[in-house]
Amino acid sequence: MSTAVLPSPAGRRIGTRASRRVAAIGGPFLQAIVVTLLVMVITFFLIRTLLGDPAVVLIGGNTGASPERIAALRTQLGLDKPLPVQFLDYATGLLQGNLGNSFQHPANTVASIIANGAGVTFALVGLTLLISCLAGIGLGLFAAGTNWPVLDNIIRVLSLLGLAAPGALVGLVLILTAALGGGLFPAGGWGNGYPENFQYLVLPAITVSFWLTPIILRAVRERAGDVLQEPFAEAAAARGMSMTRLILRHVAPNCAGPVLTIIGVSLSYLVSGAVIVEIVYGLPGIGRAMTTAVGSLDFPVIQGIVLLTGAVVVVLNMIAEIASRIIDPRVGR
Amino acid sequence: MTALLDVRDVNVTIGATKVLTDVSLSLYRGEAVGILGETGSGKTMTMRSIAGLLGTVGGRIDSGSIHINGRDITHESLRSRRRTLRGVVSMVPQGSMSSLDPLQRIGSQVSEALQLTRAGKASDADVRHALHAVRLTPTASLLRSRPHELSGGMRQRVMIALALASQPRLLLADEPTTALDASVRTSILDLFTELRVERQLGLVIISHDINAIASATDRVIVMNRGRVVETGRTSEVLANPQDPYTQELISALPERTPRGYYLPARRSTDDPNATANGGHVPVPARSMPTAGVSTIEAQALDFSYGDRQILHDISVRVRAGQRLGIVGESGSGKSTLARLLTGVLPSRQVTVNGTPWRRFGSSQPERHEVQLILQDPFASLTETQTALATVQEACRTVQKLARSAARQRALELLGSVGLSGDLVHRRPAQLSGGQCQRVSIARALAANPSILIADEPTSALDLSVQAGIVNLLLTLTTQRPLGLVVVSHDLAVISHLSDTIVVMERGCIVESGPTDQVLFQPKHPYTRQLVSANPWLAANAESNLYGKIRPGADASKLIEALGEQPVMVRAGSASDA
Amino acid sequence: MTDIVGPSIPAGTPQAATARRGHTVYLRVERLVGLVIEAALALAFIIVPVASPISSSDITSLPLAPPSAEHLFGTDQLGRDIFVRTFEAGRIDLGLILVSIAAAAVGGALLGLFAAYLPPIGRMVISRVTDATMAFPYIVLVIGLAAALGNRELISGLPRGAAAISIAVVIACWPPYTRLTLSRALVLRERDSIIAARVLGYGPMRILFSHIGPALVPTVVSYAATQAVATTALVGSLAFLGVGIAPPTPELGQMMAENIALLPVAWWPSIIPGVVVLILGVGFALMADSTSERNTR
Repeated sequence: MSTAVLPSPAGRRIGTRASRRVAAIGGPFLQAIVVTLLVMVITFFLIRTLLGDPAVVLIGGNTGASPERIAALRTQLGLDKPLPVQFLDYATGLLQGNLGNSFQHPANTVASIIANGAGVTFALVGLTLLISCLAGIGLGLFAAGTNWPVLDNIIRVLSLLGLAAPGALVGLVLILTAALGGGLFPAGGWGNGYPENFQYLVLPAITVSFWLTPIILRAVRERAGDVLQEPFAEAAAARGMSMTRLILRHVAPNCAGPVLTIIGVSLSYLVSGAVIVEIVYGLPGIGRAMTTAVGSLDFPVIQGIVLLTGAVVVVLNMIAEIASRIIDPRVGR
Repeated sequence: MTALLDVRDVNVTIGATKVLTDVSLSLYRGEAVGILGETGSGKTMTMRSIAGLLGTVGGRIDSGSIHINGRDITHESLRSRRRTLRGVVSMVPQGSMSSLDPLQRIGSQVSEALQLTRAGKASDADVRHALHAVRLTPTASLLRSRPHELSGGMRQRVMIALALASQPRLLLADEPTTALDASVRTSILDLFTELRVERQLGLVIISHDINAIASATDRVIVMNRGRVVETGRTSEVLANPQDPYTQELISALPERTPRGYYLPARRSTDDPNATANGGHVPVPARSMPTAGVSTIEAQALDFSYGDRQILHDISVRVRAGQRLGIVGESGSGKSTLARLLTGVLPSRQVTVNGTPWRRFGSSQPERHEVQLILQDPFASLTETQTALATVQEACRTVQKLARSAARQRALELLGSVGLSGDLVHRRPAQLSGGQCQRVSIARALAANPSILIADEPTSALDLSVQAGIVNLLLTLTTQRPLGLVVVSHDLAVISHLSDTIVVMERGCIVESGPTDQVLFQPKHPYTRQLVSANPWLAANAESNLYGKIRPGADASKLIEALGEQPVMVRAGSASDA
Repeated sequence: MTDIVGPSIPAGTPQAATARRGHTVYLRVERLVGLVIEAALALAFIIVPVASPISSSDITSLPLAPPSAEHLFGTDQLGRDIFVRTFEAGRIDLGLILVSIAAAAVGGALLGLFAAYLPPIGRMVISRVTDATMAFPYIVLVIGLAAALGNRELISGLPRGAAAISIAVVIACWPPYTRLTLSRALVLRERDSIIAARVLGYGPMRILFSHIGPALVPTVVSYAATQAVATTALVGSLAFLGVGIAPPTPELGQMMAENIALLPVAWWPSIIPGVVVLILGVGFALMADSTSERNTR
């Protein structure tokens, strides 16, 4: 995402270490704010132009609702105003920290509807990231460093299969084998409180990891292979540095950049994957709230969910960007 | 006394390709051996065989043996080598941005390397000591810096420090002087020699650079196509080469041919119709330019990137038919100047036929007057286009020729740079570096320029290929009224391709004048340093040979004048061939 | 451009080239295998439903008959032949994926190419819109569009739901191409060949389409194949959410979803379509791996 204009001249970079660090953090931060605003604007107009008329749906579709009643409901929901006005209303609300009220249950605020679900979904996303990073980076480095090409190839084929397997199918197969068959973890559901709830998250997280792990693994494997062939690595090997040390001390840090990039790119797909899987496992995440809201064209709730997940993706992306700039000072100049 | 390194009749294949055939060499403590060869000679594979790095490129030793310190390591795995050869063998990789771990600070890299052969942790003092040993001042800021913040010469020194950290007895250095300026090159080679004597190291230097081999090794092994073609004492082999390949290689050094003569280029597939091979360059019948001749001119040119000033008060002028050489080391701003003269970088102070360049990319009638040849032969061409398509496109768009006329013209141009037959239908990836550079030249000529600017046109090329390109540029500038600006770090190349020289240092012109005068009576200390960094050029300057012989002088007189110097005789006699 | 002088290392020694060649042959075989998988499946998807005497909706046998000579893949819980259904379903899945990914790739890549020639401000706007779209959870889009368009037959002849999925896939998938081509084009723009082209006075369109664009094709194709893998899996998952392609048209994900509950009793109605989805994905993945840009200089 470089916006470099002039080629940088030879020689050292200008500026003190401190000012560089400010630039490294400030740039991505400003970008994140702009992008979140854009997500809000795009969602607002996309929802209102692509989806249908909520008034019709709320009243009960075509079953004899009079045009007057529909018009009245539209006025009540504020849908009769021109789009820009609606947008301004919504934006002022947002500025006051108000996501609005649900169309379907006007007594409930959007925040209250999505708060619980969001907790579950992001716990799932977090656990998945943890599992996938550990497995992906570990296996990727192992595949790059192993003396046996057979192992490398086995890992490669498995990662291909993991990538190509539909998440929902994996989820159901896991339910049938690990949960119903083996009784290792519950097949679904949700408890009250955290240490207990982890057991409900394990299988869903593994399911999503089936897709994310290969993505990370392949990025690590490719970069690690390149790093091992770079002159400094060959020289280190030639003077007697052990492969383990070479991998841990030199290859792994050099893989961090590509891993962060690929995670950044995959984040929104990760959230979507988590939503699919939590529906399959019957977790009370935002997936459930979302399907209901979409079904009844509950615009404020849809908008709230998209804004929330979008913001989380943007923030995680920003962290990834800042991290890779700090790890590798050559990035982003 | 057993040899420190003993390589006997080693044969190596990669896949089905044989890359080394019966390679032998031996080395004793305190001795330096050079492996000299061009691209594809097998010198790198020889080094990989010794360092145990064949596996990563899929190579294996079919027969022969390699002993280090009396121990047979021919088929020893890299893993077991780590135990047995730690502290015995080290390697200094080829200089590039990734010759040091780009993310780690220098201090921690050195201390890690020190710990390889020690039980405990390396102390700060040890790290400083290791850096001192390679003549670096271990300041706190050096220890904390990362590789990309160092200059090429400093990186090279750190690489040597890492290699020496394990107290090896055998040191392998891969192209230790590439990408370094001449002055830095000399000091790095001196460092190798000092360390070798101090520590009684066995040193193997792999290089394509004859001057580097000449100044830092006792014995040399010349390789060609995976075989050793000649071996012997460095001074003897270089002064009196026996093998035809070595003879060709050495005579292709531009400093071994007097100015005004074509370089003896190999008649290889690279140059199917080698037009000029030895012999003097005809003095072009240049009608003295009067009015209306294309001119580029920089007047009191200052240029900055951001707040960093690159060029200070530069004034140069080139007309069609004139040849200007711009010489300088890295950071001198010479490439920036080339780009300004071409209009790639904008400046009001640079004019073409009196008009300043417009913003680069906007159309301008003078655009085709000045064309540019760049250093990297592969990157200069669009990888998806064949040679013919590249030149034809230029003919069609710049000269507005019809399709068939453009094709005809393109074939003519490609022929005039020595490319014909099947070669013109190849893409860059299927062409050699020299051939790519020829395509670039043909493409530039398609615009029918008055002035050609060449930025390091031969620096990425092998010696024998370089000779071909130098000859081609010589031919072109004599056959047509073409102006030529050659930018290079290599005085020897510049000396052949220029009538006037401008010497640049840190963005300023420090000396300028006719080529002979600048080369052989340099006034500015910086110029003197540049000239003396090139031993043969300097030797010639002292005897002032060039001063006596003008282009067009009788060839027999030349040989007479060069009589005492066997090497020069070769260069001269090649002109008879 | 940096000011680095000095002989740069001669590119690609023949030794390295030899090593690379061995590797390249291997990659070529891999790409071929990937292509053959996709082509064979595509052919089967077209031929089997046409050539078969029974149609996908015919109830020809007992429910849940195991695979036999008569019904190669067995029958589902209604007694429909899974062999015919699988191949007819595959046609829709593959067609959908190919068309939507191709549209996203071409559109996204063109936008990225153009952006490379915009002034920095324009480039920034496009970059940020790209980021925003990439942060957008596309599953909301898929579910929303499916709900909005699901009951309508947008393009006659296409099963209901297909258009919604296509549009959602295109909207969700274009941004990475824009990002990829923009960043690569910005790098390539500083390449020596482009400088030489500009010195010759070539116009921006010529440079974009005959000098920068072609160099990006392998990268874009490789990424498209990667995305096809993910999209195959996604389309296969949608039916589990009840938003896929509407019955009675057979679709692989929907066949899995319908029959997954019967897994302990009969594995074939759900596993066989799942395996087909998997093979499709693996074929794309093989192509993606072997088409990466590193194969071209």
